[in-house]
Amino acid sequence: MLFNSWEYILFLAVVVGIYFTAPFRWRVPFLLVASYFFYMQWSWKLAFLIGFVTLFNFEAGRRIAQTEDRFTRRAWLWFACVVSLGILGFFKYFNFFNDSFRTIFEMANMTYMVPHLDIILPVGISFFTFQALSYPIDVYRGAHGPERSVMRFSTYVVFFPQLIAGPIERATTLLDQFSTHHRFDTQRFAEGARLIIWGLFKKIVIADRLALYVDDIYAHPELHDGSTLLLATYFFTFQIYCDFSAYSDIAIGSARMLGYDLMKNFNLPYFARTITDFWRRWHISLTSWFTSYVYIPLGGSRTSLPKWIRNVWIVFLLSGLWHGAAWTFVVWGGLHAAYYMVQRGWHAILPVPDRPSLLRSAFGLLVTFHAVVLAWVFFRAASIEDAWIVVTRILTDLGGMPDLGSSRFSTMVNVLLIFFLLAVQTGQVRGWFSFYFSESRVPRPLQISGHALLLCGIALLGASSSAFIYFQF
Amino acid sequence: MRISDNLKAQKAQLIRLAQGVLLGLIVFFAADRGLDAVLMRGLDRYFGLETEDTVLLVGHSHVVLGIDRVRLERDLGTPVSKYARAGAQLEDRILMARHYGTLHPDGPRAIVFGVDGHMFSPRGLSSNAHRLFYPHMGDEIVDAYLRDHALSWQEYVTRQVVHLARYNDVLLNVARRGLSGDWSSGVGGRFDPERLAREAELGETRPIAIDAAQVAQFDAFLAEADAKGWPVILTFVPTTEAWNALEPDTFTEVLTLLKGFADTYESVQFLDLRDPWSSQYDLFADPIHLNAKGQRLVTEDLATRLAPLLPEGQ
Repeated sequence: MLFNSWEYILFLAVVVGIYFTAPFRWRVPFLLVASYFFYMQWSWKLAFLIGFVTLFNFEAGRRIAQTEDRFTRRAWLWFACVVSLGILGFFKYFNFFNDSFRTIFEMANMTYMVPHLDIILPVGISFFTFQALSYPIDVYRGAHGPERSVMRFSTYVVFFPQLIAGPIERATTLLDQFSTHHRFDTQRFAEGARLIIWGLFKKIVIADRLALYVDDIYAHPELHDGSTLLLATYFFTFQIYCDFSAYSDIAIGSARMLGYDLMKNFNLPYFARTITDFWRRWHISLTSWFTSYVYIPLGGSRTSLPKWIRNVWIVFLLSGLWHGAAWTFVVWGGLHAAYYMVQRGWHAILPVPDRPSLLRSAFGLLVTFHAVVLAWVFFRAASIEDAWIVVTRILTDLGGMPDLGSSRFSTMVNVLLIFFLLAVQTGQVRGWFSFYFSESRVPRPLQISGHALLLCGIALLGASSSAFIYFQF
Repeated sequence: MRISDNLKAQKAQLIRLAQGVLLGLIVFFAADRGLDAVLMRGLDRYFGLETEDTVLLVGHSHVVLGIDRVRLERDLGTPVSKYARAGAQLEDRILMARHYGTLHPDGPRAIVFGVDGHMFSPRGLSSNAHRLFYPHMGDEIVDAYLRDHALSWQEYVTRQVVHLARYNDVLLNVARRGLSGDWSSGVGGRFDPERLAREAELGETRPIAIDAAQVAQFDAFLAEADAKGWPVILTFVPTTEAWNALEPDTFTEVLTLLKGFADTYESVQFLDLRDPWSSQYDLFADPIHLNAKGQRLVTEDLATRLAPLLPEGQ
């Protein structure tokens, strides 16, 4: 059941209706059932896997809280990490590492006996594993007390708006909300609906249209010149942003209708002026997860330079691998780690003033944007070889006009849509209006009319629905 | 007291929400219907559906790229409507002719009906061709066709309610061109016979089939046109000789069928434009489509050969 489908709109309407009319004590059990129903639309068998991950982490948290003995607490924490990440590792990375080892063995003319397994990747596994695992870690650290209700904890792990592709929530921010008595609030309902409409517009009109061009070009990069590949890469830059941020918006909007607050996952990332700034704005929930549970425990930035370098590389290589079991994602993560190194060196030579000039800000924005664009090549390409073709052709064969695809008109519409997105976001940066529930300078009738027109845009320009890119992670 | 205040506040909130939803619906449907009206005007202008007593060109991509409407109109000295869509199958082309007939009960001055070797073999063309007719679903004959061809009831109902959902990029572009008066349709490129030979060897070319149901359907349409007194000129817009020779026997069978129709019905004529153009490969963008240069020459030829076949204007 995709967010961008009539089935989901109907499902959400029914869930909201029943949720607010049901007695309070039945609401969380109802959300749990609804969430499992939502997940089972993909696979009912794999729902047992989520059930296991949920119960295991719940029990680990309980055991950690139960004892003062440091060794036992630590043992349970490690046990939780090994089992949760072991499941994730098996489903997501077994074949990746297995195939890589086979290649190495074959290169050395040695026999490799472990076969390739036909493993189905459970949708959303990276998201719900991280969300469930954060609970025993937070209990161990004392950041959150043990949850007494397995029902509430289960609902926290499988809460349908963010189950498949985040935002990755923490027990400290979401779990306690399942104990709150939410009343139907028309203001929150309307805010949620508006954010869902904006998300649908970004997904169906911008991301899915751009995908048609990008998929065509990236399927055979060797057939295209540098300017065409550059255009496809720019398109992918906006496609992936619109695709993923749209999912987050629909998730946040759906949860808000039900009275729940999810964390903001994107904050105009292409307006970032440094790489650090970019990662504060892109997939915020994942960045914050890695910062809290990996980067800071390793020592973070308050350590020696060599250790800081090590920490950054570990976090970004893990982040790359988290996105997908392929070397392209590892290179993508590695590039971002390298950008951090370059940025630190650059700022050591030319420290950032408190109030940078307009020129310096614009320069920072352009450089950061293009560094991110370059890294997306590896994220999107089917293989390292393909990515290399794209990069080298962009750098060496940029003379001609890009191939505008089978429909020049469609491509021109796509370009206009990107400008529209940037114009809307400029309005957000300037504080003229906000999609994220803060005060807006635009009068209410105009806001409503704007969203009605976005719906017209979806009807007129929407491409055929396709799955969200981040579902595969 | 507190409960009643709370209820009042909730009621006020609900009224505010209902007002917002109502305003949203009004704006949505106003924009939907308003923009649809503008786009429909563009489509009708582009296809020439507003024009009375016209020479109606009906066809698929061969006609879209092969015939220059403006040049033909100028050379013939009579209005020409080009109601042709890439991907239109035989059934769609018949619908286009009938659709024009419902808009103009006196019928066109003549129908130049694009024919080709593959016209009775539906395989290989788009299964979504029907979507090109959604903007005209208000028309009874088009609506009946769409009810039969919609891929799902949701597809049909959504477009009944939301008019803007009836358009796709192809139709939007056509509407834009109709509104701006841009009727150019030539393409560049040059046919590569070696590539066709390779594709034929690999079995990647579209085979010709003669589907009896399609032949019967076409026969019924010609009988209907004959009864209504609509002159129909079955016009073979050139395809390359290499393409025509891929399946010579079946190809000849199709030509025989077309000539047979012309012999059977008084108002039907067969105009074969293949000679002398099919062998001049520099006039083609690919095996089946003329390029801009080919379009110019074939349109001039069509005007010359069509003029004596046309009945006097009303």
